Amino acid sequence: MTAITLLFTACNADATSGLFRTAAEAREALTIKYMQVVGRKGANDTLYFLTREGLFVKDTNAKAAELIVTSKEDNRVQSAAYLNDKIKLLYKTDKNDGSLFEYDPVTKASTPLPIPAAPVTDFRLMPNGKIVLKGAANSGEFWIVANDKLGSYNADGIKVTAGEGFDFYGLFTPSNYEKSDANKGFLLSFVKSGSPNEYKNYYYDGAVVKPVNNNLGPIANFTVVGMDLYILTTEGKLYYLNSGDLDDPVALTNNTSGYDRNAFFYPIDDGTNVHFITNPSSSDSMSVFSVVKGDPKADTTKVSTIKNGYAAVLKDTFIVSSLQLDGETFLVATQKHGMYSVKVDKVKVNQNTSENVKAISKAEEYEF
Amino acid sequence: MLLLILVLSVGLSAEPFYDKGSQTFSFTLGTTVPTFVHFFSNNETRVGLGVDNTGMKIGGYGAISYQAFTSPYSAIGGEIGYNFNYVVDGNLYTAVPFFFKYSYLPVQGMIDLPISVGLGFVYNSGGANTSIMTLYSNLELGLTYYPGEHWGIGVRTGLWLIPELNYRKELFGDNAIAGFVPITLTVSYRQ
Repeated sequence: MTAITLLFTACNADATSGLFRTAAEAREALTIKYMQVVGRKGANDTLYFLTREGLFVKDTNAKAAELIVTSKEDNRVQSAAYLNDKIKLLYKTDKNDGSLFEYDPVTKASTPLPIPAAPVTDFRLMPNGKIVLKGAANSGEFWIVANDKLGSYNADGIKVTAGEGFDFYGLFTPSNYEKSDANKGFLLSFVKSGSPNEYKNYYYDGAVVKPVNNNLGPIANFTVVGMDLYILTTEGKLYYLNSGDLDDPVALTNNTSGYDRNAFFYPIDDGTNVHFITNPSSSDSMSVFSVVKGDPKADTTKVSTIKNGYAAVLKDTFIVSSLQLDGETFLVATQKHGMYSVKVDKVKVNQNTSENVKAISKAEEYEF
Repeated sequence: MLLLILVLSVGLSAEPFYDKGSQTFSFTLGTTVPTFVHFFSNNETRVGLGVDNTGMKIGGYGAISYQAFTSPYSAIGGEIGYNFNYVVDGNLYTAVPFFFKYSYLPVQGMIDLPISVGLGFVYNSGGANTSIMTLYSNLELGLTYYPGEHWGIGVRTGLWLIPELNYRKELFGDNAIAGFVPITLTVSYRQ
């Protein structure tokens, strides 16, 4: 009898939905595979997004999207940025000889932007248009530079010296990214392989680079609330870092679920609490971390498992990118089920009921 | 139907082929059709394949079974198999049933018509950490043709019933019973 009991109770321990319920509520994956919601010009005015097909523009909610840059073999668009102040796009491809381009929506022409020669060996394009250059192999030297200062990166860029042997682990943009002329900050994390791996973390606030505690483990994503940082790790740990001392993290909680790198980590501020909507990997539900605003402590931080409301739609979609539209509304681009617009209830966002969402579009029927 | 009645009546009138102690080994391969799922909490039944129904597609099943005759018309034994069905979102539902099997063979000889019931367990798993060991039962009808004394080939179909009775309180609302219809080819060896 004990053996039979153990046999039963050993299974289904982590599931938050029944097996047949999960199957019955499944939806077919769409052929469109999103990679990034790049940016928008304004409300119901010009949205740019990236899929595996290439870079698209959608002028208004009513119009169909138009492919403006096609991904081709050896020239696939990997990332893009919409420059709100210049009304232009930047995009990076995997092309061997020059892979950064500027796209002018007026002339519909792409112009290559030269990447500095050696010692620069690689680069990344951030959603806000900043470029992160990598120095000589193994040097552990990096620069953050504006796209129009690439030629003078040594003088006009900000140098980050992680140290010999360190390479890119991840560059993180908050999930509530809105537009390039307002959202300047991102997190840089570098890794040196070893047993265990060694990390060096930095926060770029739009003006200067600040060292961040290096003992957080592998980072999944981060966000900025006020001036302070919240960092989620791939192991499901949530840390609070006061802007006055980014080297002194406060461990708030440890979700049992793990997260992918660049996981969805969307903050909703209800005035009293900040709720972080997350989508754990290998889970059939979403998790919301709720932290008391202004006084984040471990004993008042809660984790809620959500599978109703917005989570019923988003939980198994493989969220790859998001874009804030306003304080409670955002776009969510997914790999499996298209794009959605979501308007959550700020106060009820951590409740496992259908009332946690005020409106959510059907797949591909999003509004911006 | 007429042919079936004829075969049945011929079979029933014939001398039994099997003796107590006879044995059969069978190898089974075929498809399974997810037929329905019923959720107890809201008394909701979803019938059929695909989106808004069971959410699953036609899958595959393979199994081996062994039975020994306890009388000329009855055999007991067991079966273990592996079943898979893709879910519409690309995830895979798999089931490993292992069960006790009782068969009654009213027709036997060159043609066997086994009527079987099975009762046991099945290990089910789906995407995202969803797996559960639960009960399993089935009803099966078969027709096996033996051109010689030992080897035969046949077809089988029936109904599987798989109850999902979750032991965690938060999943009680998802308690359900699912039905699958297998359609399989079987190669059997008897002695």
